[in-house]
Amino acid sequence: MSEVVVKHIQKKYRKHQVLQDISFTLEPGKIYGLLGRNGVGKSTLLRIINNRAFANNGEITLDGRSVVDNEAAQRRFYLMSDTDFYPSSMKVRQAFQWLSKFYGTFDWRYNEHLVKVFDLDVNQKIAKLSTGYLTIFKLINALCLPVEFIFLDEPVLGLDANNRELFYSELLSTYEERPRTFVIATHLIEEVANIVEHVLIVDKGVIKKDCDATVLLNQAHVISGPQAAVEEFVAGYQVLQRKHLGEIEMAYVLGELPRDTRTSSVAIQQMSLQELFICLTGKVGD
Amino acid sequence: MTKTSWQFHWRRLFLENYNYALGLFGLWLSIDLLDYVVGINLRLLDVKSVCSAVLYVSMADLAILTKENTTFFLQMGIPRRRSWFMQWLSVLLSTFLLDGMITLYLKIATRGQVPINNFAGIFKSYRAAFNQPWQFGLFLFLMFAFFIMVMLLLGFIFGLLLTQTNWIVALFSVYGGFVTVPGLIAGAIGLVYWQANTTTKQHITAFLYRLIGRSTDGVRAWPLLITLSVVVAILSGVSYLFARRLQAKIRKG
Repeated sequence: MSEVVVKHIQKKYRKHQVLQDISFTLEPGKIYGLLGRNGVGKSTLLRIINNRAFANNGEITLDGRSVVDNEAAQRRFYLMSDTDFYPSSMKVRQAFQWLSKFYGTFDWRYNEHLVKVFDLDVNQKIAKLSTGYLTIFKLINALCLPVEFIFLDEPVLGLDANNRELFYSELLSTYEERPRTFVIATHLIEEVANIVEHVLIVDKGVIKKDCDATVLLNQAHVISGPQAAVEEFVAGYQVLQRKHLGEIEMAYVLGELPRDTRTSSVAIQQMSLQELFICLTGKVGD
Repeated sequence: MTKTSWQFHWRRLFLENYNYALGLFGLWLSIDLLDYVVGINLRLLDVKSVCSAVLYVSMADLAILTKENTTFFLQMGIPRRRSWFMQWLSVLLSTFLLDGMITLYLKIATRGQVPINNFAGIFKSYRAAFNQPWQFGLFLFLMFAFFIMVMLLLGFIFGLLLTQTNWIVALFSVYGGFVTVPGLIAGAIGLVYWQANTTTKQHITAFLYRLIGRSTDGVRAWPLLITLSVVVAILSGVSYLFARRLQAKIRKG
């Protein structure tokens, strides 16, 4: 099975170094969450992988060959982003047909199902679609194409809560039926927390965390209680952040906890992915 | 994907640009015919104005199509090299087709009955500067190519606006036509010149002289091709700089 290997990618816009040194590997059949604060270069990174922008340094390979201007590699990728790349006069149905021709095959049966459940008008011109339906149209493309690596940049932009839930459920169902690699770049961390299997956190132009979501969350805890007890408990752990509420202290720690914590006088909770993200990438309101 | 990308590109050009120009010519010919049969003057434009109007509309449409195809190909994962090659090849085909359509229209318009050389418009004064009708015809053809190239350049630049592409690749894409098209034309003329007899060689030499505004018999014309080349280069350069500035404003992260 093929892997996408990203090695030492650097990207600079004029004097602003967006990506300092990005390296990671995308394995087949996994759902990745690409998380990062505004402006850290998530979209830029996806654009570089998908041949829409060029890195100043570094290399991205698929099966050992560079993906830059490499048609064989690019036809195994699909990037769904907020930028509209479809001709204005093209209708939704025509776009599906052209995608099918360009990529060789298209899951028409699944397409029919998605069009129906999302209530998308296929006779509408793409340029006339609302923001939400434009997103739905692109998501349907992404889910029906026969590609191995699907990159979704803010995939639920403009979608209402019902359609978001529907999308996540369809994503899991198609993934279960036909496993392929999804990379989801989003700020709605809580919504994707139960979906992603692997987390890539980008901060200050580098990958700050690249690990299995379950393993990571099993090591992330919030320890709360009297200040002295908390201090005693967290000694030796990596404390990401501390909060004080009068005499009560909350410490966000990363590390394996002792198996038996029943005797301790502190409360222990598992951190959510969003809390962990905030701890790793800066304070609230930073 | 190779076959499909060519199919997509030419299909859109034919359906949305060439057919569009052909349709406009058809409309004006119908009005022309109706006017001839009924005997009242319905025409708002004379034949030359119709040709100019169709040409301008077609060029603007071509710019939009080029922009859209450039971005669509990026979405489909088509390599930039092929996209570039297709766009510039369409300069030649578009020139041939539009030239052919205008010639045909001028020949069959009831009040027209004029050869392409008479559709000189702003280039009328240049006609006298060329010895042979074919030379002026070729000159007009080159003008067509330049105008179409300008519109393709604009389309390509605006297409690249959305791509945040590498500046070397962008520059190569934008200016590629200046190497390809004149190269092909110069190659064709060179081939004819190499095989021609002395008189034809003299004609070709005189023609080439006139293209750059010089004459062996004292007639002087403004070096339009060179001027246009400079204008196109400046225009595309300015547009490219404009494009680069806009790219920096595209949302990142």
